Amino acid sequence: MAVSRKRFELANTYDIVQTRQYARQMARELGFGLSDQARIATAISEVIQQIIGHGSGGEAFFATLSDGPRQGLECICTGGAALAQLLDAASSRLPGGISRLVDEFVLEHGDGEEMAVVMRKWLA
Amino acid sequence: MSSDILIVEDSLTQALRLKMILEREGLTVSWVPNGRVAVELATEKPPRAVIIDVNLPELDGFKVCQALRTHPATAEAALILLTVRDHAQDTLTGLDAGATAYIPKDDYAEANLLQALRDLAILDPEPVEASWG
Repeated sequence: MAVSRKRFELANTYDIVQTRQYARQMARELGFGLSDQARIATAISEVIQQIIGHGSGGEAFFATLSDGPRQGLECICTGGAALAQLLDAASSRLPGGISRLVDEFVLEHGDGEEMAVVMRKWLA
Repeated sequence: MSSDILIVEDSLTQALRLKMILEREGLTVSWVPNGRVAVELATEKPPRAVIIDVNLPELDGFKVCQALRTHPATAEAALILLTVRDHAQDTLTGLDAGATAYIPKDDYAEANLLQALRDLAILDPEPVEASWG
């Protein structure tokens, strides 16, 4: 189950810093350790850099997750159509891909040209 | 005598600012501008935490981190990478090298650094209020 917590508009480079910081704080307060805080903040930051770099703008939604005793953090970032190609390249750039930083990294197609990236990280 | 904190930073202005902030928190702080010298100093007189820039002369911050993490004298030290390099590959390289924390140099860098030092019990904790709810 996901409980929505916060929404950010993604329009300029300052939004990268603001959203990354929110991700880091939320991760810390959920109980993630320092290294996982960095993994989560970096993954979200990198996706947002792709969205803003492409010029499409978008949004980021944060939520807490619960699955029985497990807790986690979810961030959904939306952007334009070219996001798929950009993120596909970024996520497959192993071993440094974004997907290595989170437990789940999924691309979803919305209505029209809108794309979304769903990232989830679970507390171990 | 060992310092609480060793700063490894080749920018004089950034190093001095960081040193001032940490000393204001009551910590003893040493500073070196060079990666190779940092490894020599830290393994000889192990600090509680090493704050490491990535772009450094002679030995970059990732290699400093790896050298300290694998040396018996500093294997348990807190290693905090503080850097402008904020891409996925950089973070993964830093954490794989043994970094305890990876903090980008942005508007929140100082606050995040102090918070990390509190979480590592190097600084006393502050009361925490949920800010994301």
